[in-house]
Amino acid sequence: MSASGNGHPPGPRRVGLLAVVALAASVALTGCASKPHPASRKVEITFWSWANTKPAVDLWNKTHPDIQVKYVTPASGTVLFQALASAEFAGKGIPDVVQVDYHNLPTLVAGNELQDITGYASSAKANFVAAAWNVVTPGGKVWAIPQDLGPVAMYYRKDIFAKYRLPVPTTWDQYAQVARRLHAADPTRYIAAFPPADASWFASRAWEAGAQWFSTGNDAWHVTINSTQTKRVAQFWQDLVTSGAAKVDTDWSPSWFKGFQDGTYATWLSASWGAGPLKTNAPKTSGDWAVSNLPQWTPDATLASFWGGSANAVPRGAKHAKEAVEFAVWLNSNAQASSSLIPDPPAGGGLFPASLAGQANPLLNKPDPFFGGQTVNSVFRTAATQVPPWVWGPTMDQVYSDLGDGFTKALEDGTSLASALDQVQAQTVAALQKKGLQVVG
Amino acid sequence: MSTVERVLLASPRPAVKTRRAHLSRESRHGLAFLAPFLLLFAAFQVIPVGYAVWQAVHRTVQSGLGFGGSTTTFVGLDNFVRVVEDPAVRAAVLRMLLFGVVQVPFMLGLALLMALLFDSTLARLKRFFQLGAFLPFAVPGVIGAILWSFLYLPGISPVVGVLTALHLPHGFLGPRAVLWSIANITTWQWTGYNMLIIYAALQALPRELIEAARVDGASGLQVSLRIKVPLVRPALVLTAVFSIIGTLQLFSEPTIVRSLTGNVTATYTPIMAAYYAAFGRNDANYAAAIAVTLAVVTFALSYAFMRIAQRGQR
Repeated sequence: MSASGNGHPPGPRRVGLLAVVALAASVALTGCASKPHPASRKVEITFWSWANTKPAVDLWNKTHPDIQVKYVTPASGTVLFQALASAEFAGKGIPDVVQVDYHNLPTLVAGNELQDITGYASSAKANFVAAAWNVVTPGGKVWAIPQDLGPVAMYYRKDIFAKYRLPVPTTWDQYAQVARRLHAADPTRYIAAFPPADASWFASRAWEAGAQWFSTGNDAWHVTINSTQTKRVAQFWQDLVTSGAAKVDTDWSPSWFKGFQDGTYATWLSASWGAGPLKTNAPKTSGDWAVSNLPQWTPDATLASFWGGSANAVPRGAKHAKEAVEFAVWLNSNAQASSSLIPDPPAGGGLFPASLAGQANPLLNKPDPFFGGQTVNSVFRTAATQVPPWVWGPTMDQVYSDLGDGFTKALEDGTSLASALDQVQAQTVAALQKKGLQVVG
Repeated sequence: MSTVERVLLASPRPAVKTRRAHLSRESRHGLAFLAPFLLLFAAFQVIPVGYAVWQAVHRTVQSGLGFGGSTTTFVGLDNFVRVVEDPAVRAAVLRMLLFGVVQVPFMLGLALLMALLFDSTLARLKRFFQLGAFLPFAVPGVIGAILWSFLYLPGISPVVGVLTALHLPHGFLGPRAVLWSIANITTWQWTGYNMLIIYAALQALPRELIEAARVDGASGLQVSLRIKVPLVRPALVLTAVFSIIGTLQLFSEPTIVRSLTGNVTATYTPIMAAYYAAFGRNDANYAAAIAVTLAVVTFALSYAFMRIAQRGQR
């Protein structure tokens, strides 16, 4: 705590230089880091994973005495960058395998943090669903092994829908109608929370509408965040918010969780992993929930999106890339391993597998009492096959920050979300250009 | 230890000027005693600051899609020009100046008032109230910010609940109000600390002076305003400088509040802007430039304030 600054009086803490201090200190201490490895066949590799993959790692260690894996839980998100960058700078403590969010993968590749593992991993392609393999191969090379997916569907409160005799919407038009009817019937209830600051949630809404935010061609990035499809989605939610049918709320905040506990929100557009937080934070609503396919923009369409999900990459400085890939492929496509990844913690990682073998695991066919006995994972399994192609950009944290800030401000000022998208488009093009990248936007 | 403290401690160094040969043994001994300090000072101050400056005058660029590695080149003061021209950084600095102009005098006034009360004979249960005033400082800053956040949050906070029921304004996290909600957290946290510094200075005042004033017929209020306050001026200057520095380096409170409302943007304060540049945009060079600029601005402001305060004294 002291280093990250309690902000006020005692002295110049130079919080901004924090990372630099850490780096320089580790440089000073690592002059003698590179001792030769003893000539032994046994290899030890380190695996940074924020999900509870330990049961699966234990299984590997039992069956693979020559490659022992050490499981370490780092922080996720931006803190991972920090830890990884520090380790690589110091040349010490670099993990052999790291769990990374899909949306961060191009940023890490562009930051020169990862190893090209095409040589070891290209044969694993057949083990994974196409949409997952697609995201781990930006620029045509293999940069990671897919781990889990976050296929999106609609969680909804069966009891609330029944009480107000509302049909389960299959199109967004119906969703909007249901939203207005619900709020008119009971002004304390809303169809959903709209989280303006959570750009990752909005990215999923744009994705399932068939939008594209990034693409590559002719060795250049194409940025299309303010496309007509994305603007249409933004306008849809703006209308819901303006009419009062959806409520602006910061997701993952205590008041938002309270909204699920007391039935303020009747639906949640969320990924397979969303069931976990629902069960932990609104346990009393057990049995009231159900999951259905996402509403569609055109009546006959079957489009879905991913929200979250992660892959296992090999950092640039890792010394045992071959063994690391061997482990990552096993972990994410072995049927037995998937039995340890699927169950909720502490028994497993609560992960929805990205591999074909994992998705065939009978554990996914178990009826869930929280959802009144519905086999919810069959809905998510279908959704995972309906996700259109999507490319993450090389500065997603910037896009997320700028979009979150832009949407929040637009709603406060009463300006349009669509014009905020224009602004994010310009900010993103500028951010890419500043990095020296080729941009068409 | 802060720079200011270090300067204060280091300045009355005995200025011994003798021939080198004469003192060589002594200076060698002196150096040996200083070595642990110099080593740590170099490792944790000189090298990091030097490295930050090095980072700030370089730029890392990629080409094409950026998947083929990157090159680092010397760019001189380019990054600093970007800092000065960056509207987000400028807005953050102005925001903190506004914050400081309001919050620092308010907090120090409150701290001075409390210190004078504790120093006077009027106060009852002195120990109890002193501890009470100082206690928020003992709560880790992040924990304090989280606790206050819960009091600001609609749907959770009993305060907001009561205000809503009474139809009173309750938007603690609104686009304008949120800055003052953060100011409230820092005031709560640091008033007791500043009070303690001022109180210690008051306690060190010679009692004869105050007794003499009383004999001359000065009232309690007059003793406070005419005798005590001018005499604890150095303590007030010290707390003011600390507060200016602290304001420009505000980070953890707004970062915590940001998790509850988008009204605190990613670049809300200068340090947050540096953090965002480093870990949001992966641009360590620009982050270093912001950090170095901020250090210079902080130094300049602190120095200017001390000069002005000293001039007034003469």
